[in-house]
Amino acid sequence: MDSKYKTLKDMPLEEELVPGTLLCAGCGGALLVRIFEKMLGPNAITINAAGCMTMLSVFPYTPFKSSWFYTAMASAPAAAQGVRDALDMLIEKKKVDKKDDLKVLVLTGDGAASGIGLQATSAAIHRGLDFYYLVYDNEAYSNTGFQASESSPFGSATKTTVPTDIIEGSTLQKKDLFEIWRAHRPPYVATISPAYMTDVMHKIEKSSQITGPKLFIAHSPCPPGWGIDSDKVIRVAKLAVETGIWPLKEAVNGEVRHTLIQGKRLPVEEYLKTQERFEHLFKPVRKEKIIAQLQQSVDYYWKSVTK
Amino acid sequence: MITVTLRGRGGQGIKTGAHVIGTAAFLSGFYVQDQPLYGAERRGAPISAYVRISRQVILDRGQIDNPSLVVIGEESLMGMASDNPPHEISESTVILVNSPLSKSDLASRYNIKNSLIVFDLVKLSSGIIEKPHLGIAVAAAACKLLGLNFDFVKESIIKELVNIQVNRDEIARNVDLASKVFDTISPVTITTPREAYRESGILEPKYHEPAISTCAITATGNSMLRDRAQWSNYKPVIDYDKCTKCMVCYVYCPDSAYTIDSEGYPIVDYDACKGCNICKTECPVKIITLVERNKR
Amino acid sequence: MKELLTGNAAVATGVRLCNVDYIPAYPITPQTEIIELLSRWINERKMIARFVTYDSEHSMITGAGAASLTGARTFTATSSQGLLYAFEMLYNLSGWRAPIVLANVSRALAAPITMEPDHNDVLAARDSGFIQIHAETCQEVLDSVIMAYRIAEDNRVRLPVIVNLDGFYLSYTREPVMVPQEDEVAKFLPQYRPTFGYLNASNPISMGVSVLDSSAYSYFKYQIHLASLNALRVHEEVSSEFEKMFGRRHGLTDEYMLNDADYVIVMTNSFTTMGKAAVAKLREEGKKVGILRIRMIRPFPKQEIAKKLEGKKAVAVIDQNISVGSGGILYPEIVSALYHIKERPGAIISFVGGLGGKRISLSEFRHIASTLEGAMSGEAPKVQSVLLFTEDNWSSVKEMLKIAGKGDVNG
Repeated sequence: MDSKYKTLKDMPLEEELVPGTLLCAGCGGALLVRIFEKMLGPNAITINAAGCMTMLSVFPYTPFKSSWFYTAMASAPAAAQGVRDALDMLIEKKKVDKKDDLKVLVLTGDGAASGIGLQATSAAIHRGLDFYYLVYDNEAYSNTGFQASESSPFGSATKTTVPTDIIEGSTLQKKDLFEIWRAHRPPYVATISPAYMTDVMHKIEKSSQITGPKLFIAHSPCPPGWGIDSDKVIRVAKLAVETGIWPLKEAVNGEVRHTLIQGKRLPVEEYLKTQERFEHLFKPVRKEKIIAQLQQSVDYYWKSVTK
Repeated sequence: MITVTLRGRGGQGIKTGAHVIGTAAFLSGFYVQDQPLYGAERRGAPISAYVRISRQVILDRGQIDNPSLVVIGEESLMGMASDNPPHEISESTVILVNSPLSKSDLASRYNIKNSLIVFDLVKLSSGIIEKPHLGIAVAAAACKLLGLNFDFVKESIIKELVNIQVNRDEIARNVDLASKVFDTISPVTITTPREAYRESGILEPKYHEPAISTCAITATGNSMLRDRAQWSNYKPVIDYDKCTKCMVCYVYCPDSAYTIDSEGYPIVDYDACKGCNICKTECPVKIITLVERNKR
Repeated sequence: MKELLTGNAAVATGVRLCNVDYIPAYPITPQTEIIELLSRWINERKMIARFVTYDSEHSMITGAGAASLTGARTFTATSSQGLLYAFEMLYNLSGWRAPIVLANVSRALAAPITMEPDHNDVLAARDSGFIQIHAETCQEVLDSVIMAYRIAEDNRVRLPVIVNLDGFYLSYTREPVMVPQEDEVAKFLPQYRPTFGYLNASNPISMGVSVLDSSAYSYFKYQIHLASLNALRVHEEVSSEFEKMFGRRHGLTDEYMLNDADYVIVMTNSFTTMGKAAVAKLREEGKKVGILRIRMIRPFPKQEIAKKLEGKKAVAVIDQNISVGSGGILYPEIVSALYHIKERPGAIISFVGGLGGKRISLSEFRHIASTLEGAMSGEAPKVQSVLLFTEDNWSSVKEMLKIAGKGDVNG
């Protein structure tokens, strides 16, 4: 597809989110929300599940120029269904003008997407709901102070998987939300990274041509939760891609294509070492077994991709 | 009853600082209440914590309106028109602040007539610890002002840092720093504040139509009206002579603090900048530097 | 036109007449017939609306609220476990001021699981901000649905409404129902044209935002309460207009042989019909008993209840529900409504009956009447709720306990 967005310089300059939110400095999720809102433009409604982004609009202040609707943690996709259906019906009945139609964006964290809201999402995809879904995957329940979610990586420290003499952080594997969503054969599902903005713009642009579920899983470095300096957010996100931990890919009607395949991947520890949540894997002694396990699972993944 | 309000930024350990004061006073035999103010607090955002210390059972809870002592983690938090929540400070409130500036400079810069105690954490920590725990240091200074015995302060610091899983070596260094801070501060008189009571009659609310009485915001993009404290001590400054207009700084700003001018140059709105410094780190030609905000 | 309709069909018919735009659904017994009918009528183009089956009642109520805020007249239905599954969203919808109408077909709550009605399901939602209208007959069910939209959409109220009907006793029971003409209903209930809070591109709004300031929170929460209280007045206006147009009146309360009664039984919902039969019988036996049925449960019509019960000798409140550890749910509300009147009844006694749909027999009503008389002739009034449960009931339970392997149990 010939894209309008060849370099960063092609990014639309109009902002839909004005400054002044209460979100953390350097929030990777907030950056992607900003880009999404830009790309969708003013005729959009963002339907927010409980999570970090709850803090975007706190009475009496909102950063949104377009509409925002705060629902509950489990059911943002259901609210999207209600808004979409109502607009369709009211436009059909000529009670609402076509020009007042809205693009519907569901915005949730990984806790809502992988856990409490998975059922509502599955149903919305199943019904072929015409909506965008952006999950800011910061790999834990960050808004409540960084407890383990179903998206927390194996070996990572969270407030509920604190490394001790007995355990080395999370003992569970990160849920593969991309594959769970893809199993529904949605017209569009993609992973994105804030370090690859032209890729982000391409994917939003491509999906905008499609009617139906358009689903995005965004790697979203969280400075306080991951234990990184806020200025390192893009660096860390880039390392996740360069080590192969965060593959950039899309699936159209279930057919997967990687949008970036690197000749040589960096060892995963280059990524792990940048973050306090993995510090216990290196200090006071290296936990070779866990590091090797993490490397193996990445190698195994890419073996199936390249062949 | 003596009341203490601590002000800092999310991530600086202000909650731990309040716990250190609380535990030290508790070990000294006082009735104690301490609490952080949870809610919209975020890394880098101004936050508060409270401590109440009394010889009797404490018959109060929640936020402190008129503290005996205000402990301020860094100078950028001093000039705030209001914070979250607003604190009313009376003339008897003692102000303790971490700053490299002198007492007289600070007093004149912020027009402070209160009793003011200043210490410089950067100077005091040099040679002891690379990344000092701000909460511990301010707590040690506050404990000195409150007249607590250092043995209890030390015990308290160890207890609280073990609690948040700080390793032994770090704890030892922080104790050393606390000891130095403790010795540097000279005691002043801390008083029980006047009770902040204001008569306000009971109002019988009227019904307002849903356009008014629904929890919705009909204004758009008004978050810049928020009475924001500065998020950071530093601001990014661009060397425009060397700027290539690549837009990297603009693209990666999570806070829409950048705009692009008609010639394609990036402009930073310093009111909107939270000081994450992504722009500085990502700038491919390395022409963004950090400049102290309050430098005059 | 008069037709034989079940309670469920009466709901569906009311919804069709109200020109509803959107119906999010999720099946649950004994409500399911409502959504089956509506979906069929939509597929036959007998009504123009969108019908969508959601993945749960939690999602369904969320979708209903969202559609309502987008400007669609929205209806949904549930029952029992379904209502509780949606519980957190009930509070959200009233906070969003989303004027949907929800039919709840009452069914007792698990565990133990059962099918037949009591009101622990709908009364669990009493603090949610939904207006609640509880119906006795299939006719009242249909009429209440139409009235409910008028009340919900009135700007003085703008709150969601539950119309409650008992499972089985109404839901699957056919009786003659006068079905109003479509054009008359259209005259009574104009199109839904919200002036606030509807989501579309011309009206950017941040809806349902967090309110962390406790004063502002108090303000918004109390406004929901004031809106609900306004529904008392709005209901009376709507009721008069409805009567003028359709010839039937449905008040905040309904009464039977109340005027000259010394003793009053307070009830709700369909079991009131059986209560009326019992009262007629007791009257034949010379006992001056009457019935007050409370139709509007939220807002609670305290003044009207006080007016109707002032000067009565004694009052029995039959709660077809149980607040475990306290007793009947409505009883303390009735007592508080009566506390400040001059001629307060001499005794107000709480009865819990009809749990899990157990019929309230004539002997139970007799027991109520004699307990009231006893209380007036110096017997110490009961402090705890009295369970309406007969010796015959116990014999049959005893038999079942034996079969279930629990041996001979003494009552």
